[in-house]
Order: sequence, then C-alpha cells, then structure tokens
Amino acid sequence: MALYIVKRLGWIIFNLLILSLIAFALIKSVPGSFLELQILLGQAGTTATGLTVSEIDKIRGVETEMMKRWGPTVPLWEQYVTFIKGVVTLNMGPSFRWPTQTIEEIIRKTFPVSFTIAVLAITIAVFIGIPLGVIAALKQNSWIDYLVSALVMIVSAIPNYVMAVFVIFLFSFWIPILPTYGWGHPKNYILPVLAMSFGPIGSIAGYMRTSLLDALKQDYIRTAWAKGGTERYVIFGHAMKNSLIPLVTILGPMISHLILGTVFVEGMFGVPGMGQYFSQAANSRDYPLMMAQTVIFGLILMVMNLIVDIIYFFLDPRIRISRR
Amino acid sequence: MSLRRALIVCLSLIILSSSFLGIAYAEKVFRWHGSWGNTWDLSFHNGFIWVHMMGLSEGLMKWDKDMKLTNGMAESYTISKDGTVYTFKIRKDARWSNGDKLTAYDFEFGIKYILDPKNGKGSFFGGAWYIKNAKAYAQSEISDPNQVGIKVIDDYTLQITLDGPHPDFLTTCTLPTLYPIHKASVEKLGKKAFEAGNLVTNGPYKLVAYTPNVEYVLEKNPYYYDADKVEIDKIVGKLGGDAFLMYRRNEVDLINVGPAQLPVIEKDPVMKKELVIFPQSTVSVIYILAFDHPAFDDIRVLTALQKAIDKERICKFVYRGLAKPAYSWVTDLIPGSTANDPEVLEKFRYDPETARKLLAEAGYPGGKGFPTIHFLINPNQATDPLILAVKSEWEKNLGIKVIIDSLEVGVWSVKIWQLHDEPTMSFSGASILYPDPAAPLTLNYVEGALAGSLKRKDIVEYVKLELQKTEVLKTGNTEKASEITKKQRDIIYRRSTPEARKMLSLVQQAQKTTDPNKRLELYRQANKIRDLNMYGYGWTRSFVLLQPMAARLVRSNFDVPFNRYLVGFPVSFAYIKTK
Repeated sequence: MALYIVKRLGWIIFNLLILSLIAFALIKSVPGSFLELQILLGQAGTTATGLTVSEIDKIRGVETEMMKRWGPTVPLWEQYVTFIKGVVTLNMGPSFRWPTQTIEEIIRKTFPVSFTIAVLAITIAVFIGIPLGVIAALKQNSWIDYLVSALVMIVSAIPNYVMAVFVIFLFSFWIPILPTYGWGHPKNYILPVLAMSFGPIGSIAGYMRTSLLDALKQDYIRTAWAKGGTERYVIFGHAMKNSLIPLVTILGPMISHLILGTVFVEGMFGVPGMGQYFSQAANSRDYPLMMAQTVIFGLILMVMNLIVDIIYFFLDPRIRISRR
Repeated sequence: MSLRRALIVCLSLIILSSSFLGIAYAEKVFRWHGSWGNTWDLSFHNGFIWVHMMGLSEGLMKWDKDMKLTNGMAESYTISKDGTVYTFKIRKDARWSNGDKLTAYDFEFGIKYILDPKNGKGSFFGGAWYIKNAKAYAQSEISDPNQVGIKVIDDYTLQITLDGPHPDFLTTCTLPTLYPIHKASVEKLGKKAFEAGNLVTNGPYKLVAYTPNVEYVLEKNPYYYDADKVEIDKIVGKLGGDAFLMYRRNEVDLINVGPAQLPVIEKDPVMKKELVIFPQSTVSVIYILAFDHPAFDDIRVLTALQKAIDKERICKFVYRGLAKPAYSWVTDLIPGSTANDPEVLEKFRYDPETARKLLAEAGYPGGKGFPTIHFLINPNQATDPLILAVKSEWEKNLGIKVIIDSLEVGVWSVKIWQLHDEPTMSFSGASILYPDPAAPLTLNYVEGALAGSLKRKDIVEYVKLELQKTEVLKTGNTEKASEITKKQRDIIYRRSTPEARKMLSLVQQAQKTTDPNKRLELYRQANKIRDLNMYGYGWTRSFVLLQPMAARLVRSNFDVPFNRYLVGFPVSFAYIKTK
C-alpha cells in the first residue's frame, strides 16, 4: 500500500509538471496583458488617464518591479523555470492584481473558506441525497420514485447561480430570516452552502438509486433473501454497503469542483473564497495567479482521486485481492 | 433571597442597563455598494484611490460640500509671481490615524512614492506631473528623486516647484496623486503598510477591515482635525452581491442603478421617491478604430452617421429620461464647455432626411454599397443598451448594416488597437475628473484630437508603427522605440487638419495665460473647435453620444452630497449626514 501511494505521488508530480507547462503555453499565447487592461479599464475616467501617446508607450514598455518576472523581455523558458522554482520553494511572488499579497498568502487565506463551504455542501448533499436515492430505489416505479427522479433531474439541471437567486428570494424575501450578503457570521454560511448543495444532492440521489437497484439484482442478495434474512438485514446490511462504493468515486471530483468552481455563488453572497480570485485573475491577465490556480486545481483533483482510491482499497476487498 | 433569585435580579439588571446604553448611543453606519478596487496602495490606479479621496486621505486642498476648493491639510499657501512656486503651510493640528504628527516630509514622501517607477503603475498622475522633473523621474529618465521639484523647508512648510504656470495645480492638489503617505509605516512594513490594520491615513476615516471581493469597513479617525464635524461613525463598502436585491432588503443604503432596473423602480412608489439623479461629467463616446476605407474620410458620411442617431429618443426610451443627449465632448459642468453653444447644438442635431441626403451625395444612396460596420464590445458593455439602440437607428435611418462583436475583455483590449479589414468601432466613456477648463484639454486630449482628424491612410500608417513598436519594446530596444514614437508624432502634428492644429495653438496659448478670463475664453474656443469637428481620442474619430445622468438610490434616512465631477461618488464621506 505504502509503495502504491508513493508511486501515485510520483505520478502526481509528473502530471503537475506537464499540466503547468501546457497551462503556461496557453496563458502566454492568449492576447492581452495586465498593464494594457489596467490602462484601458483603469476605473473611473478610463480615457481621462492624463497621458499622451508617448507616455502610454513608456508605461507599456516598463514594468514595475513585481512584474519583472513575467515581463516581455524575459525569455519564456526563464519565466517558466522561475514559476516552478516559486512553487517548490513556496515563493511565488506577489499577484499582479493584488500587489500587497503574495500568491501563497492568497491561497492560505482563501483555501480554508472554499474548502469549508465545499465540504459543508457535500455533507448536506450526502445526508439528503442518499436517503432520497434509497427511497426511490426501494419504491421503484411508484409515484414516490417518479417524484424523486423528477426532483433529482430538476436540481441537477439548474446551475448553482440560479439556485443562488432562488434561495435569496426564498430566505431573504419570502421568509426574511437570512441576510443576502456578507461574511463572518455563521448565518452567512447557510445560503451559499444551500445554493451549492442542490446540484450534488441531485447527482448523489441519482447515483444512489441506480447503484442500489443494481445491487438488489445481484445473486448474493437473492442468497441473503433465501437464507431468510429480514428486509432490514438484506437491504442495509448487504445491498446498501456495496452500492455506496461507486458513490465514493464521484465524491472526490465533486468536492474539488466545489472548491474552485463557485465563482458565481461566492460573488453573489460575498464569500471570500478562491473562486473569485481565480476568475478575476483570468480576466485581468494576472499571470502568476492564473498559473498558481491551474496547478492548485490539478493538485486538488489528483489528491482527491488518490484519497478516493485509498478509501476504495479499504471498502472493496476485491481490489485488495487483485493488488496482491 | 435565594441564590437563584439573586442571579435573576443580576441578569435583568445587566440586560436593562445594556439596553439603556443602546438607546443612549446608536452607532451611525452608512453602507454602500461599489464593485471595484484591489489594493489600498495609492501608487496603483484602481478604484480604491477614490475611497482614499472620499474619506481615507486628504490632500493639501479639498472640496467642500458645494464643490468649492478649500484648504485641506494646508493651512495657507502662497504662489510666486510667475505662478510656478507654491509654498504650503501645513496645519499644525494635522495628525495621522495612529496619532503621529503629519509633517511636510509625509507629503514629500507620498508624492515621490507615487512617482517612483518601482512602485505601482498608475495610469493616472493628475497634477503630480506638473511638478518640475516629476515626469522624467516617473519615466526613469532621471533616477535621482531629489531633482523632483518638491522641497521641505521645515516640518510644516512644503515648497513645490512646477515646470510652468499651471493655474489648475491647486485643484489637482485634491487628487490622490498628491496625497501624503505615512512614511514611518511604509519604511517599516513595505507594501504591507497598505493592508487593513497597517494602513495609516490622514483623512476623516481610517480603514479597520478589508476582505477582498467582500467588503471594507472604515471608522471615524479620532485624530482628524475636524473629527467633531464628522457625523457618520462607520462606512461599510460592499464589493459584491446583487446590489439591487441588497438594497431592497435594506442591507445597503446607496447603490448605483442602471437602465435595466429603472422600469422596476418606476413601478415601485417607495423606491421611486428614493431615486436620486444628478448630472456627471461622463459622456458616452463611439470611437472609430483603425481601418482603411475611403467612406470614412468623407465628412458627409461622418455627419450623416451623427445626424442619423436620435439621441433624444434614446435618452427618453432607453434611459427612461435619465440621460441627456450630448453634442459636445465636455459637459456644461466644466467651465469653458461649449455644450450649450447654438452652433454646436445645431451641427449634429437629429435629422434623418439630411443624413440620408448626405449619404446619397457621398455615393451611398439608401445605404447601398456602404460597408458593414462592426462594433467591438467587451462583456462589461454587453448589458448597456446603447449600442443596440445606435445599431437600430443606423439600420433604420440609413439602411446600413451593423454587427456587434462581443469579445472576451483581454482579447478586446488588444483588438481595439489593431488594424481592421472592415470598418470597426468601439465605445467607451470619457470623464473629466476635476472642474477646471484645462482638465478636458490636457496634452493627451489635444494629441488625441489631432490624431482624430487624420485621414484613414495616415491612421493606418500610425497604427502600423504602433504595432511595430510593441514588437520592438519586447526586445527591450528603447532607442528604436522612441525613434518610432518620433515618427508617430510627426504624423500627428504634421498631417492633422488646420482646425485641429488651431486647437493645439489655442491650448498652448491658454497654458501660458494667467489671466483667468482670457484663459477661459481660449479654452472655450478650443472646445468649440473640437465639438464642431468631433475629433476623438487616440487615432479615432468619435461620435459624442449621450451624457448619462448618474442614477443612485439613497435610503431616505441619509443625506449624501454627490461629487458631480467624479463620475458620481459622494464628495466626501465626512459630509454625509443623517436626516
């Protein structure tokens, strides 16, 4: 097992290198630069910048100290090597857009927020989604099944930013008990977590239903019935246990997507998480932050997959046997 | 008395006394919504410099509630006879938010910090560039900051030498580029000095908390010299969320509304009363980008395009009567404007008949044979109904075809400077930041006007040089780059139209004139030439379109004075009163 994990970690590092190289090439080939955008969209009075044509040139030509690492005069390979060095030594330098903060600081501040929100949303989704799926499977082809399936379809089809507006209307206007915006109070967690959990509830319930139905048709279930097992014993003791295994595989990627893919929800409710930083990084051509974001997303995804595989290893004896 | 009873009595006493305290002093909090800003460092040109201006920092001069220039941190000042040397006496009771004394050294440090090319790259320098050698220092032409014309005579006396008489210098002392910066904290903490908790400011407020993308909190600065006149204790700036929903839930007191929300507001009797509309200095402008097509050298075509837009109708229906048609570059809020000049008003008045006739005379009867016009817009502009309105006006009145190309913002930022095969336009707002006749006629605007009068083939040549220069700068060859710039200046200054050059000479004369009336008249004449010929900024010709009136919702329990010139922010948080 230990050897397996070490091997996998080796692959993660190799994959991250490839990923960062591709990301670097793509980011660098996209038109537009941070300075250009600053000049053009530099807030109030964009055209009233007070610069003559030749003065704008000067600004384009000269970088500030912080941008020297990424400036047009530095060869591309050097920029990439500097970046990798920064990742390894945890010194990635300041972001362009947030010049008083280094990339590490941004991640240190925002990751816990995004992670907490994502884990809370997944927890809620698991506690609601699994029972829903089980009920639907046990009452297959009844009106309960149809109702659950329809609900599952609806909540997984509606994107979380639409859900965000919906929960705001529900809990801030119709039943005015929660603030629409803000951070710092436990109350502030409720709406964003809720808005983010709807999608996962849908997919978890859907998975659970199919996988339990599948398990119930297996031979060992028939054997269990034949041995005179009670309904509770057969379903919860045998079928449920096995049908949870496929669910574990989707939870890993689900969490990593929720950690990073919540830009709209964050913006809507004022959650100081990673998503907004990263989407703004792309819009403002903040190269260091864009690169860091790609690597982190890759890292989270791969680590989650590794964790899932390790859990799998313990859940499913067949995998253990085949490894030996 | 049993222990339990004693406890209950104690608890109720505590609750009672705390509620009385609550009645005795309720904190006055003003919450508003603004979605910009990413650093409090004054050397970066981002939205937070305006928060500095509204309450965190204060310059030598400031605006009063009625937009009159008054002394800020300066107690008094003297100006030398030739108008180039300003000597400011700093007020003795000036303090930083941590209690430190504010001296002339902090002003010297602040201005030089902003100019220092190693620091943030602002694209806006305001009056700082009037200071002798300031521009050269900011552009790394000289490296010794001591050559910049700022001299500290003693702790409370600051002498600033300009590169010429600039009668609007005092006005620019209100702008963030001439603010003091707390020297001790920056020397100790570096960039970290600009983070919440470390930031030391000299205005009526101090920054107590800041969560990026979420909100910032300002509290009254007890050391501010006029602290007892500051009424609101706390200002909260929200940086995200749906402003309109937040306003309806009473989570914010002030938001900016756009045309999309106006129909909803009109139907709501309460909100309708809370809507505050006031003029501002921004005009929406359509820019013609770089491409070569003979039609766009023809004044008849350009006039036809202008005259085919029913600005009155767009203002009435698209902006629900909250915008005003503009026929001039500079609104009548700025002295020297020719916005109400009958000749200017008449020249580009809506007249579809004449427009069609002019287009036919130019060889495109009914729009036949006229090339398709492309509009490049970025996602921020996608919700603005203006471009759609212009498109329909042109298609309806002239029979020409208009296509709107929506681009990702970074791609857009590059494309608008490039050469295009087909006639291409973009649009943007132009704002004047302070009420002085020189503000809309700075050298950059005049150069823009000169470039805007060029023929299409000259513009193409100019842009080709520009693209060439971008490549050259990548190699770090600054000598070659400045050679190209020289060629570009040649094109702008030699090939522009005689009217444009007359405008230039009027502005040059005005810059040397100290007599205020003469100066105003010269600037007025220059404005009129620009308005009658519609010279744009950069290498574009422009169409002046609309002067949007800022629409703000203000909860009726606050009295917020607005700064008309600063695109609609409150003049200063210090002037906000509860009603």
